[in-house]
Amino acid sequence: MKTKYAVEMSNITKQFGTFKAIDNLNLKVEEGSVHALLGENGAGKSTLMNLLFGFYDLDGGNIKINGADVTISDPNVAHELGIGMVHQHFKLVKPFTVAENVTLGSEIKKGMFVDTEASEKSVQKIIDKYNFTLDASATVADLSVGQQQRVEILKMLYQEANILIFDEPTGALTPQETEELLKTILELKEMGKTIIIITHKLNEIKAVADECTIIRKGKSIDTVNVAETSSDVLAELMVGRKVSFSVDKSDKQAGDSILVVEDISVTDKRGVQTLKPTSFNVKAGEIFGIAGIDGNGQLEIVEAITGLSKVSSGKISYRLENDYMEITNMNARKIAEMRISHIPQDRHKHGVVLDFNIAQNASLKDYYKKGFANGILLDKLKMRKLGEKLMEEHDIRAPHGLNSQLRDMSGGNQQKLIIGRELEQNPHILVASQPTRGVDVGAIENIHQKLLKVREENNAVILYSLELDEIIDLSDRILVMHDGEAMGIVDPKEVTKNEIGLLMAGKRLK
Amino acid sequence: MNKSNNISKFVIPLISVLVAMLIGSLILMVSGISPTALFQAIFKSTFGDFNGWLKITSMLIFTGLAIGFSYKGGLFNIGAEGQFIMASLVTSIFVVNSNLPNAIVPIAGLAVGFIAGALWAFLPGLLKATYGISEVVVTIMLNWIGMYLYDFIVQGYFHQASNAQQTPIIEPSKLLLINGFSYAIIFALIAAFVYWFILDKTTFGFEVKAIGHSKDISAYTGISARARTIQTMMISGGFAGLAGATYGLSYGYMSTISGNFSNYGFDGIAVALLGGLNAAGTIVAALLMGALRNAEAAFGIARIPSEISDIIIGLIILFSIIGPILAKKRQKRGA
Repeated sequence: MKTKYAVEMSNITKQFGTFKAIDNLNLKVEEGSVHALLGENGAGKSTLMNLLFGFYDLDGGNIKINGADVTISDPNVAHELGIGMVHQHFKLVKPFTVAENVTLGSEIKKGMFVDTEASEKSVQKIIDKYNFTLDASATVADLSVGQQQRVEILKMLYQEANILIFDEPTGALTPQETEELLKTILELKEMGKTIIIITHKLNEIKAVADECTIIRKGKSIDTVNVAETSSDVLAELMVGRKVSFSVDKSDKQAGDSILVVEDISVTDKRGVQTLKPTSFNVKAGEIFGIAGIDGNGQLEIVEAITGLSKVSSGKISYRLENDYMEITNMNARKIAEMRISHIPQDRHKHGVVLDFNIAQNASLKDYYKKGFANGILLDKLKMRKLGEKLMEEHDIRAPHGLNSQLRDMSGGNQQKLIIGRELEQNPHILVASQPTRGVDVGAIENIHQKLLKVREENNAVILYSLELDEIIDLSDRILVMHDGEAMGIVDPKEVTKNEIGLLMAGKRLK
Repeated sequence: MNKSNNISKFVIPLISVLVAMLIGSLILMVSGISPTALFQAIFKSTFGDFNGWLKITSMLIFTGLAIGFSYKGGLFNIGAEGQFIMASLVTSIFVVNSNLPNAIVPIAGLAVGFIAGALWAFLPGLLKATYGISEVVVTIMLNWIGMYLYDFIVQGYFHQASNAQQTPIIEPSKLLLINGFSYAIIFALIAAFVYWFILDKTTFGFEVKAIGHSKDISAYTGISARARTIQTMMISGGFAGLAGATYGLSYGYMSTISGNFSNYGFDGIAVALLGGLNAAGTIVAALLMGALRNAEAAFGIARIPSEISDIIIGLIILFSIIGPILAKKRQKRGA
């Protein structure tokens, strides 16, 4: 029997200015299958789906849905063709109820009024059919991220979409929610839906996808059968080279303490002590990990050291040329000038100015410095050169080169720019706050190597991450936090992951 | 992309003006007035009263720069009007009573106007920087306070038998005039250059724009958002103050109807938006808007309701705001 394709995209091309976002790309998705789109940040996955969903017009190529040629000029056409999409950032009206959100645009009416009862009933019926534990009359603002995503899925099911697109659906989910979503995707497939999932997480692809198309720099590299392809091969196809998942860390003796933190505590605006008095020291030539479940005081420590926020008590001393000097509650610029660099957790908020271009963002730590600026004047040539250097050394890809606004770049490339800029400061201490959040496998490996290089050069790295594996693989010592309190400092070679997990949960080791 | 951006920089304002003129003409036609009378009036008063055109234009350049500078710093100084009024009053008093040589007086007057405008903008800047209170609300309030304070002082202390609403009259020799010809425009062009220079060339301007785009970058880079916010407001107020000073120094006095605004501060919003917030654009927009305002006297003679210029300016603002949004949408679709 001939295979039926729900979606056939052939020779697709899409250009933004001189930048070819999609270059003669082909994609065939079998009806009733789960098809993954795998690619690095900025490879063109989302652009491709936006073409399929009618957000952009095609520059070349053609699209067939269920075997028929179509022109998808806007999302309404996509809806009519039975295509639904769950966006990375949900498009929900928060103060509305689940039923109101789901029926929005095709409300059930009684005369000129919305029939609330009938619409809640009909939405609840779908909820029950798919076993989404949700209340159709609940307000969306009160729901968790995972539940909100289910509302997005409900919207597609209510529209009777048969081709469901998920754009990086697990980015904002907890591990439990992720597991549930993957289960839901498999159930939807059972019911005959065709599913396209965009992701750069290999384990998710292995868990749900039948086939996987790998996209690199706007081109389709290959389409593989997932069951017959190992994660290593998938990663290699995606990045274009071999990717090592294990970290090669040299054995090396750490030096003297470069940072001494004594009894620092942080009290927030509400008067809650979010960090209880905590002491530790960081040595030259080590990676000092800070582990914990999100929101247990790690961020407070990182922000206190880098000057982003103030401590209520305690003292932070930093060794500069054999003398210890106090840097407690100093201005972030002064701390940075003493070569304590910072990769901030929230890159859009703190790491970059989204409306500035690459050259401007590259110079954010230098633009004013003696030897960089001409007195009160900017040295634009130096700024551009620094931007070019970072782009080259850190493989930063951007649609319009040096003049690209950060807003137009993918998260991974923004992160590369921040890391490059911070390393350019030749830090004695590099404070890395969730440095691999939201970046793809290839970039993660690259970032890990850069952190290790700082350690190799006998400088210190303070690594705060929510990925326990990452901390265990990279760190020489790990500070484990629970409820704003230090549970202890452990050597990852001497304790198991399980034991660290217990500390994170607030159980002290015997 | 960059090329098309440059094109849209010129095309959008041009279309905005043309469409606004067209709609203005249609409104006139509906009211039974020939639109050609409108264009004749504008043409005649622009080239017949060149001096008057340039006087208004130079004030509009200043207020346009005032609004533009605040925008670049992430603020909206809708109080340019109040700063204009206060500066014009303070400058008049200073110049009338000044014993400085006549050659220096106008320049000293401009400096006084700058300072007066900057001081009137200090409070909203301080409240915004310290407590996050909206500068829009505070400056609107200060517009009314400024206007009535002006009324109060002018009526109370400079009450003149014939003209109740008039600032003290400056001697002609102290004005920005050579042989009756106003050279305020030269200072306006210098101000536009300074505006460009600060924002584009200096580290200070870089910081103003950085904070303008993202307040949160302040904690990370150590740029003081508080200081930059206050400074941005004061520089913006200073530009508006220069316009106020120019009024007195061009016409010799300012005379208004009690309880009315001069509107130069508000027109600055249109100039800034039409000019795309950049220095050169602001000059061009001020020339256009100046021609329209300068023609209002001729409108009366031609029996064209002078409100037509308000309508056209309002439409220009509207299209200047809508234009870039539509252009962006088109770009997104890959056109």
